[in-house]
Amino acid sequence: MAMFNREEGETHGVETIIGPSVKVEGNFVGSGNVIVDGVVNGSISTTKDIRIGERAKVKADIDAANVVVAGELHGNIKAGGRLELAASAKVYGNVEATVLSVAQGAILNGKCMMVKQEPVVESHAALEKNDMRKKNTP
Amino acid sequence: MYYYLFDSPLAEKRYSALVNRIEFRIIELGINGRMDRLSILKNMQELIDSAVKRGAETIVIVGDDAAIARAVSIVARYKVTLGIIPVGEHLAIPRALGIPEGEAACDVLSRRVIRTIDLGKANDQYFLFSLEVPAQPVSIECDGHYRISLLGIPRAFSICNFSPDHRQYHDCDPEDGMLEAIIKEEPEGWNPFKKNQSVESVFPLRTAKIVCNDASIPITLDGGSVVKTPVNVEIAPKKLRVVVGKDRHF
Repeated sequence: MAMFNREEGETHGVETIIGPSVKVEGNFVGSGNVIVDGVVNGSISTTKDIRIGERAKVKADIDAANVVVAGELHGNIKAGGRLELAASAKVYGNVEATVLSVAQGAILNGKCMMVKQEPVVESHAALEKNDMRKKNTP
Repeated sequence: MYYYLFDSPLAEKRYSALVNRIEFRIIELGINGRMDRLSILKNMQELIDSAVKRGAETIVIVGDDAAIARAVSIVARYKVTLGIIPVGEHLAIPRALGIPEGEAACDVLSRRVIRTIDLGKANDQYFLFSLEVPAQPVSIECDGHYRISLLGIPRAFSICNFSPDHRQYHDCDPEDGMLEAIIKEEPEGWNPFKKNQSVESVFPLRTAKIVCNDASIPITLDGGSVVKTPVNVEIAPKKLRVVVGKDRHF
């Protein structure tokens, strides 16, 4: 997974950064990657990835494609793809993800639900093309 | 139809040779038009207003950043194109637009590569680059959904439409239909001998309201004009038609 590679330029490809001296209150809706190192009260929703940093204090529901948690979070997490809890993570809330990774030492107090990734439905034209190929092959 | 407006400092003797070369090159390239010079008695707003009424389609400012920034705010109100011939000491705007200094800019002007870019709007005034908020405890209501408060006093706080320095990490693209609120702060254990230590917060947004709880504070637009809080900021997408060069930063 190419999200939030800390070693090579940690903010590369990130659109929103909530720094340690910033407090966000309300419903944040974004369409890019989000890094949280500050305080958030409300909800965060994005179509891309979210990383909750070690120093972050979040009281919010999270909805994103992939989520990495290294800090403290009070709220529910809904990850369409992968949810990763680092060793320093403290999560108080329900989590929902397709892939779950929990490091040794992480705290997770809440219900955990694993959802299946929806299979990609091929278009009618693509299916017909496949049938034609099968027929033509000897 | 072109309309040329020369900034008032260009009447000084040290610029006379350069101004002559510019005028000669304009004629040589066949892009001549009416020319006016700003002075104490001639106001930029009135001159541009009357030029547009006469049918000018391209308003060319000959001058530095201060003159160009003033012209941006006026030209944005009309459906005309802005051209720039940079002359002076502070030329960050033409550099960002890829326009060379002096008479070489006439060649860029004659090629007429035009881009329609976004502008920021603070209350009723337009800005091209950014607005700077002084180091004060302010709060910002963004896009009507969430509020940003500062837990400390930041080192720098700006709302940016277009970054004049293309080497900066955050590309403030003037064609993306977004503004970026950028808050720079000193990290804990700050060491003055180490470079690039500052921590940044970045928020893409379309509208914002800047409020200061203590008092009304001055906010600077493009390093020039000033508005006072509360300030309503918004993106004005595709607001300015401007002639650009090939070395532009976007």
